[in-house]
Amino acid sequence: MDVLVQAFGPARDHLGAEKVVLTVPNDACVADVVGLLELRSNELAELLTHCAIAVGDEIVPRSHGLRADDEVALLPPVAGG
Amino acid sequence: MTTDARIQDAALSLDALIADTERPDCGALAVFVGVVRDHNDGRGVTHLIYTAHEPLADKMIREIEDKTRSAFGVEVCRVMHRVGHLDIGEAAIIAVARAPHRAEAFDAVRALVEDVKHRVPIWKEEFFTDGTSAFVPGCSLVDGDPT
Repeated sequence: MDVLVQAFGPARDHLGAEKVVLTVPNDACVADVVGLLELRSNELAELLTHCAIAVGDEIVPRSHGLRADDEVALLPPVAGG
Repeated sequence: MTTDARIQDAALSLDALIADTERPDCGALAVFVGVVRDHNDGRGVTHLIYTAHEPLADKMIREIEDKTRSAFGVEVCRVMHRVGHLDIGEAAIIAVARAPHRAEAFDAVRALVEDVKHRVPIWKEEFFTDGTSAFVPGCSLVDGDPT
């Protein structure tokens, strides 16, 4: 199945795009997506250790199961205000 | 302007937010406005670009408002945060708290701003006078992560 990965803040620079589509097994969880992304670069792998992950408008644990066409957001450390 | 959306890409209006939160039972109105300054860590800054996960940020700001109202016993807590390109002097965040008396209003508005800065998915990219840019290091939303 396909899932849409959206990168925010500095994660966008490390991913090289605002959005990418990843194909993962039908029983994939967030950790599987993170594992695929970690292979892209050491810099992205390091940043991912500090990223929360949201699916839709919920922050979810790495064990969260995914469904086809889920939108998985990479949320690096935040700095509003 | 409407003040309902907590994340806005248009200029923030403190006047509108104050008008929309009027309460006859509150004698204290505490206000914080965070504006873009022209320097950071000794470097000249020309402008900022804020980005956000808007649905999640809107939801989390509303949760922070609710939590702060309960924690400090105040009647009104409201925050609006700007996204997009902001020039020097523009407001990035405005927060108001209304309470019967000043002490809890001051405390609540401080707590509101601190929580929004540290817990809401918003990112700040600084653009410097030498032509470079960088994201401001922030606070991790991962439980137990020390960053």
